[in-house]
Amino acid sequence: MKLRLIATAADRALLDSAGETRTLRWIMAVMLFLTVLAGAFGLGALAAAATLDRQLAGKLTVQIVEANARDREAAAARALAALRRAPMVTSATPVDRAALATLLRPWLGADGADPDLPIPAMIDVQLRTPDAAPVVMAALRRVAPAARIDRYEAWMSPVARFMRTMVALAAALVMVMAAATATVVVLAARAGLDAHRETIAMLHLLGTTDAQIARLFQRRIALETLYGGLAGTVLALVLVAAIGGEIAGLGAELVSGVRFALRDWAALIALPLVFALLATLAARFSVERVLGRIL
Amino acid sequence: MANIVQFENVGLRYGTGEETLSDISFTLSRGAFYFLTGASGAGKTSLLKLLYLAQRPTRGQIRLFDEDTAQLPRARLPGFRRRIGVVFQDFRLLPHLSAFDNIALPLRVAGVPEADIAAPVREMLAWVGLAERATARPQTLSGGEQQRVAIARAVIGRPDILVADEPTGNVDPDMAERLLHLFDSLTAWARRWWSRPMISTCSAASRARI
Repeated sequence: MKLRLIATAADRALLDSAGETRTLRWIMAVMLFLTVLAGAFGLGALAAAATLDRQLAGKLTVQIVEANARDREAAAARALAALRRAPMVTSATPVDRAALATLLRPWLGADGADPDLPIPAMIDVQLRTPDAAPVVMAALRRVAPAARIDRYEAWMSPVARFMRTMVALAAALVMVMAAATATVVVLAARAGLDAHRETIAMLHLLGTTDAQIARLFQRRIALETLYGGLAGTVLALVLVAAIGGEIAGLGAELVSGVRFALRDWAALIALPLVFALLATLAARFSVERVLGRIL
Repeated sequence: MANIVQFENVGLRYGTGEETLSDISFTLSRGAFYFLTGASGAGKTSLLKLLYLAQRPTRGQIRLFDEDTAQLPRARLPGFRRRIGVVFQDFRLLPHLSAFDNIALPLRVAGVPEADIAAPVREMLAWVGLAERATARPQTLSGGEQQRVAIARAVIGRPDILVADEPTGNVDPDMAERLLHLFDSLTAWARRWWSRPMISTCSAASRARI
């Protein structure tokens, strides 16, 4: 009784399937639905963390805080010149005062445009490498002691840490779902052995090996896992795609980096196949273990 | 190998009670037909279970095909079981399979290619007089018909030993006589073609009919 890759009708008929429910299939659909969502969440957090790193690495904002407008402009000019001379600086761009006034309008109203208002002069700086920050900051303080320097990484690092925690959490969720799937399969295999007790006893007496009997169960369980898993995966991917569309419509710079590459979609689509393989191994192991206790 | 089966001081105990079988010793030789008779509860079925490897003895030695089966590793048991055909009193046909598929079961277990199964199974169905009932499920067969399917299943793999546990126990007397004649012709056929021993338990009344 060799179970080929494509089993014959005779092989499939050895275990009575009449009256069997498709409970395992529905359970697997739910498991894979949740697993794919967790996986997508993790991949999205990973993409957002990568975007954050790309956007923030080596970025500074220099603020010249000076009440006197003439002193402020002189200091800003010295700072800008020093920055543009520094070899580690890729770009140094002064922030337009009018643009600043526009940014402050929700809080200051039209007063933000008042030229006498001592709004700090600001310069956006992009460094070649993040390690260059201390050197640049030291050089800047020599020409503009009153300059305040904001490193984006400093105040965004908790956000980056949070993203990485979410990635780890998503990975842990996927592992938990895999363990739960294996447990469900073991229970289903044992229930199947109990339900087909007489058939198995007869097959044993005819000289069927444990491996042959185990293959009957593993095939059935693998197919139920695969069919249910594919259904759950498709539903989850539709939901993920819909959420992705909503995120893209937000226009927020951070979350717009949450975009799946082809390999991310491939990883999600591979999940039902991986789980079907896991179910096959779990079924085979548990059935052979139970049969090993029977003479 | 003249003696194909040897029991030597075999004992069998279920649980912690008294021994069901004590100091059983006998040999079975090739091509012979043996009847095992005894009162109800004497241990006939238990002895047959030892023979077709559904039980291991609690003591003693059982040699089948010149090997001590009591010491046989579990992984080798299937190979021995394929050489033993068994007919049960309660038939033990698989209810979800047709007569054809029940008879074909030993061939499929042994790995015979599907293309080589149909011919011997149809021949066997014809031999037991059920050629027209190949697709019938056991539930639609009479007791006698079911037992004939069971006999066909037991012999189709040309086993080295054929064991029958009260094969006529669940059929009416007329059918019992017909089944015993079937065994008779099987024995003659066996002697001519493959020299295997047969052992059957039966009641004294059945034995008297032969």
